[in-house]
Amino acid sequence: MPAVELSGVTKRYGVRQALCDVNLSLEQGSALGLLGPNGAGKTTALRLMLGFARPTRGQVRLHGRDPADPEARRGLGYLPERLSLPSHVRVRDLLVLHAQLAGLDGPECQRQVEATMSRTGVADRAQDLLGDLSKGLRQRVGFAQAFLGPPQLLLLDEPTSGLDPIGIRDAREWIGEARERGCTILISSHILSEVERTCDQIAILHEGLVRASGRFSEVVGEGESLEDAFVRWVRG
Amino acid sequence: MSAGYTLGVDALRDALGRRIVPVLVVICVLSIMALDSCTSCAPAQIEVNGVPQTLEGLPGGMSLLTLVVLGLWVIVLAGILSADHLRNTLEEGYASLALSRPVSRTSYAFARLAGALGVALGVGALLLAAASYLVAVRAGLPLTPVLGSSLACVLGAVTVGALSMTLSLHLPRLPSVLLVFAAVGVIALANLLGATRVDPGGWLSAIDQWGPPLAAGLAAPLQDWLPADYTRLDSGPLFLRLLFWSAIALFQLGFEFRRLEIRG
Repeated sequence: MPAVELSGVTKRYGVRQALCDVNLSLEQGSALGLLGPNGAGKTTALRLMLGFARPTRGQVRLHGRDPADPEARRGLGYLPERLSLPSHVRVRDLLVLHAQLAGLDGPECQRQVEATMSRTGVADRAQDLLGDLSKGLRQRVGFAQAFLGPPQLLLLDEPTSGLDPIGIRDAREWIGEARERGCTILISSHILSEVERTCDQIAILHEGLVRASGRFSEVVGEGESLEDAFVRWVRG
Repeated sequence: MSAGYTLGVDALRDALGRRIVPVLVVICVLSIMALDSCTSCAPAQIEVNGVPQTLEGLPGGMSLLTLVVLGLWVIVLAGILSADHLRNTLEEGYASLALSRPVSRTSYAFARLAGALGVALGVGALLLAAASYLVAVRAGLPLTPVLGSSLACVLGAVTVGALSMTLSLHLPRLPSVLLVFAAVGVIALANLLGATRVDPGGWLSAIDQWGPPLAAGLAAPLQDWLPADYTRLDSGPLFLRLLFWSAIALFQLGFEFRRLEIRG
């Protein structure tokens, strides 16, 4: 059973069509990079996978379940593109809340929160208010909350946004570790090199249509760079 | 620990951290000072055609009026706090993180409502306790009726809070708050006219008979404080109607929030 499956999904907002007859399937343990220019429909696809919106036509499934069903989202970690965290809450309190929502409790909850804070480099800021953190540190906290559980499926929307080069390298390591644990990963990004280094499959979206999808070798031509392939698929 | 409980505690903490809370504390202190004055009525002596008469019902009447006004204030407060307690988390984007977890939309909305109601009813408990104490000490009135009135206050707060939160999913905060004020005011007026047997006719009469009996529900249990010959409201049907309206309001909130498309 695929971890994520979109079958004939169309999403319209009034007269604007954000996605048109999209078919995507992501097997357990694989990593897919969802590429596309601005307004291609990447974030809409993620919103449908999270159950935040319903498709106008077609079907979305997470582990065979409708994402509107809370059980479908068990074991899911999500990092949104525009990460917004409550400024009056402390780092540790936010992570404890999300660990509890992920189903952790008692000593295991504390252990995972401490371990995740330590791994994502925010342990020394555990008592700080989220509003006092820099954008890069907030993004690290965003990663930390997504890694709690630990997740079987990670949906990351522009995950390295706001991170400095060291943060980007760290993020790549964390995603690699999640993959080694068997976690399924979907990354929506503009940064082609990031996708190239972390994913084994790509899907190129443009104007709501999947222009190309598959393994790198199926999408990127012989001797062609990912950037050249991206431009070729988008411009036609 | 259930997700609903975890979110409820978080929503209450969030509500307590809001800028309006210190204002509420000041209002509470001022209200208690005002209560000191409102509950100091003694049976009045007046002369009618030269015959001295005692208005025995005055302390009870004033106490009833004070507690009904306090109850309505708590209900309005529940509406005001609920008008942005869910909407804020959607606008700021915090909701999307919580809703990506195995949390139902209904649990999330109800937890946010519980947070707003926690503050409103906390303020209400403080004010009603102070008023009840003063009423018992000064007027020697029994306190049992206050329990019924408090229950009506809770049901009214749930009804108005849930409806206000539902409205806030479609309207900005200010119109939602203004609608809360208008709705509670109109219902209180309809209930007052209904209780005094003045048939207002038309929609005011319909509101009194079929709408949530916010003021009538608060007043009915306190009628024991009035002399026996005063008009009687039947508490049982009023409570049932309040219960029905709170169930409808909660259902509507859950239904609307499940339908809502959330920004990622």
